[in-house]
Amino acid sequence: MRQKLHSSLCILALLMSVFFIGCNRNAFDFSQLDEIDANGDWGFPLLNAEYTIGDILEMSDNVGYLQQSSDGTLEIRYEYTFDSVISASEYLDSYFDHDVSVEGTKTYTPGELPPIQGNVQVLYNDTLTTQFPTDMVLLESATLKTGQIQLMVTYNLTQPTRVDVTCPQLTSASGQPFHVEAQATGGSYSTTLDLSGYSLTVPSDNEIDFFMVVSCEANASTLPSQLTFNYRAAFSQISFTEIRGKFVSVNLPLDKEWDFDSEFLRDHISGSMTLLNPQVTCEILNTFPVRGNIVLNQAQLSGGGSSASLLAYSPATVEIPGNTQQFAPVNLPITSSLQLSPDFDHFKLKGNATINPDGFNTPTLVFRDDQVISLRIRVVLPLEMNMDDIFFRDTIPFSGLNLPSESAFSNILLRLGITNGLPLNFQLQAYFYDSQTSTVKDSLFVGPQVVLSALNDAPRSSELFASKESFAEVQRMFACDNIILQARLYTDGSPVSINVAQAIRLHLGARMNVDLNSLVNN
Amino acid sequence: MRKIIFTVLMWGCFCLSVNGQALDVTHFMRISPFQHNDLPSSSTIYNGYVSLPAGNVQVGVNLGPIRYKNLFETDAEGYPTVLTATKFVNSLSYKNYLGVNSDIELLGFGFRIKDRFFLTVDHRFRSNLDFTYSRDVLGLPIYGNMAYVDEPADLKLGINFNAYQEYGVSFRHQVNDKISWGVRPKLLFGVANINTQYFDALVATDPTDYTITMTYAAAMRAAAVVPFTMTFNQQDGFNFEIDNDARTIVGNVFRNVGFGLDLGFSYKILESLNLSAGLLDLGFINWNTSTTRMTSGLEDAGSMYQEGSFSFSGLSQSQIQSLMNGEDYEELLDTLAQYFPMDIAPMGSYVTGLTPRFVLQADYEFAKYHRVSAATQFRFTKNYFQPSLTLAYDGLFFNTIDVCVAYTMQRHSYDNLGIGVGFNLGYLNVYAGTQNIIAAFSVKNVSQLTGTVGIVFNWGHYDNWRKKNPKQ
Repeated sequence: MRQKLHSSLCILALLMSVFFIGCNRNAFDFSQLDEIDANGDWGFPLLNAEYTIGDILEMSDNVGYLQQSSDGTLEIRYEYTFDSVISASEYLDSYFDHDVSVEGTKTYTPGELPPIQGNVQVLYNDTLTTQFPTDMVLLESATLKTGQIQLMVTYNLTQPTRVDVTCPQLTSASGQPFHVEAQATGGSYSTTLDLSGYSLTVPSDNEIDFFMVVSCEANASTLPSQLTFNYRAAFSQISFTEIRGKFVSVNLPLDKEWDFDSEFLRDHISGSMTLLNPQVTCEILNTFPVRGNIVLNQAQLSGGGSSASLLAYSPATVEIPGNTQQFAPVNLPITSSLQLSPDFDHFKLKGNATINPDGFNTPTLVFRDDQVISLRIRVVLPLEMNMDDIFFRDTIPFSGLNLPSESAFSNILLRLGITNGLPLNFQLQAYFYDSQTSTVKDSLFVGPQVVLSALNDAPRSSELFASKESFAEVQRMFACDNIILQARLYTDGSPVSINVAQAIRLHLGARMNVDLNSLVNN
Repeated sequence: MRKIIFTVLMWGCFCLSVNGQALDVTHFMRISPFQHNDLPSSSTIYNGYVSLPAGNVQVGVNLGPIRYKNLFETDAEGYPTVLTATKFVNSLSYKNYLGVNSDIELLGFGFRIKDRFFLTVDHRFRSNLDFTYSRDVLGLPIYGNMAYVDEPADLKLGINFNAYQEYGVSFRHQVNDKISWGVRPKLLFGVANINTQYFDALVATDPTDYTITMTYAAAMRAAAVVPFTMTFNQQDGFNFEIDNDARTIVGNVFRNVGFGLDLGFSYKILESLNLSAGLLDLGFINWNTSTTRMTSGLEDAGSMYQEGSFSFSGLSQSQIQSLMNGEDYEELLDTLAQYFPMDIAPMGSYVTGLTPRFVLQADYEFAKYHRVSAATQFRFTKNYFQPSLTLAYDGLFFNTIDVCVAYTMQRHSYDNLGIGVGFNLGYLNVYAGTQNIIAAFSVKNVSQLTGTVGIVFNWGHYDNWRKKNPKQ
């Protein structure tokens, strides 16, 4: 029994040994297993986004001049305000930019002197009449902002004298008539007085009368045989706060210009486009109490060696309404189309302004020194246009993409589905540019890919494919440090409008073969 | 006889189109007293037996369509150097199965009562893992999603794991010389269970814009006598804790109660030709300890949820903008995760069924102690039907050495040549067998690894008993 059991167990053990020894133990030694044979075909959607024109504008920092109109149409808007194109102070100051004076000499014999009154002998008593020019303004009254009056009298008499000067037309801010009273010795008297704040009343002919009296104590024996008086009265440094009167018509040259930022267009667009129905709004703020007009000889955009006139014809006359108190629009004859260059960065306005064209026929006016004429120019270019060879270009700095191993991916196909709601056709291409060597290493598409425009406002779909057989090609592309996106934009002939609600939907997907072995081992 | 042969051939043809686990080779060995485990109506040659503790151990691994030769490429010395993933996936069927099962007779005995009755009592520990998976579960990561533009990738997973103690009393009645029947009621105590109710996902890819659309739903239940808690949330992920307090565990051992039943019927058509049928493992277990439910599915968490599906057509404008603004892409992943919420929570008791089997067997004894058998087994796992056909020869030589050779065919597995050897040493017999001896010599081709060993004390040989009691 024991022997049988022993034998049986031995045989069983032998069979089990055969079972296990028979196994190829190498087959379960996985130390040399280092390769996976699997090459999958993968497709991934990467991007599914809709961008309206409004979204694109929001994303761009420096395109403030591209704005949305009330109906959503996109427009280029340049606006500039010329403050105080014509200022009353300058105008009035130019009028009073030279001195107004009167001077002369008078000779008396003692016998011609008036009788002595009491103990006073009047030696000189005369009116000094000054006159402001009458070619520009017929004054009725005025308030002086600044001004001086110089009074001077010399005579051949050594004894002390008394000098009195009055001018009822000049009154101080407190209402006191101008009056000077002084003692003089040595045969002369001279003084310069400040007239700031004085009011001036001019009854006629712009004349101001000063009444001068020179007297002394009565002692005839001391008088020379002939008395000679030299006198002078002179206004200087005159400026007015306000003038009431009649004014002559004034012509002033208008030559204004400004530079604006066109960086976005200049950097991204090349070629020119024909914009239809440009609008130039000119608003004038005229606080003068009188109308005027501007004869425009030039209103143009320029830059990059080219220019485009906004005027339908020139010269063009613009009427300026009187006393508007706020900016009021005036009509300008504007061209119906404009060749817009993306290099335009300068606006120029040139012509002549005429203030108070009716001149002295205009009733009495009141001019104050704070009155101005200001211009606000708004150039609005709705993006309603025709374009043929406009090229959009953008350079995107690019670096830091950590690409997997070279051999993991192959037969890479990028599919870009575009649903174009814009009325523009595109020819797209992307270049991979290496700034170190200044060379374009590769392009995304074999040739430019066409994206058709929306048709009758209905978006149209286009599919663009870019394929790279090996991942080495992809690596070469992404080894570059810049991606240059380029699009040729063109319309089908009829004018189109760009609206902020117009959208372009992008559906980007990638398909590739993935070598699982490389993916895992690298 | 022709009908029988025809029927057997039909079974074989049927088995060519399906797959499943098969009867173990020791089932056909005359000296094994455990044939009643698979056929309660089958007889044993002993008048009685007592198995040693763990006296019959049966372990099986069914890899289904998985073959070493399909998985690896070897060099001249036989070392695997290449994992041939594509070839492997190509070899899979639409639905695939992987199973691991063990059946350990912890203690058992049986004895004959008069001539017509045989009673056995046993205590077994049984476990089975049935893992089903669709080919696309592996095909999608290997082939890539563009291989599924015409038909969506159908991702199905099924896990059914049961471990339980079985206390059975088997009763066999030989009605007459032709007919016998047997029944075995079983009291079950569950140890652990993991059970997917469903795990279904469909992944489709649009061939033009590569939009990926997915439907998904999953539900799973688990229970164990070892108390555990499992939680999940998006921030902290999974949290799994086990309470290894021995008292609690012991207290739980008998809380997952279940019942089972095996039935068998045999009919002797001719003196040497016997037909048997068995319906096995009918029953259920009611799980009560640490019952946990995990559910997951799609939720409407945003624009990617469309008509009950998750649809990813690329990053949106705002998502691109967020990434360009330097926001962490993990936040984006968190957003995506909200579409796939998962909930893990304790639940009340639940019931799982056993894995029923139906066995049909024909034995033809062409000479004394030499017989050939044809048996088919139909195994009913959840959503999966596993038939097999086994042709076996068993011979007892010198009244001592039992040799059994069996051939089993299953789908994906037609090269299962099994062998079993046993020795009858008087009151003791020992035996061992495997369903696939080829595995010892050509491991690259096998899909099954099974083994059974047993040592049993027995007494009385039925033939001798019959000689002594011819009238009973």
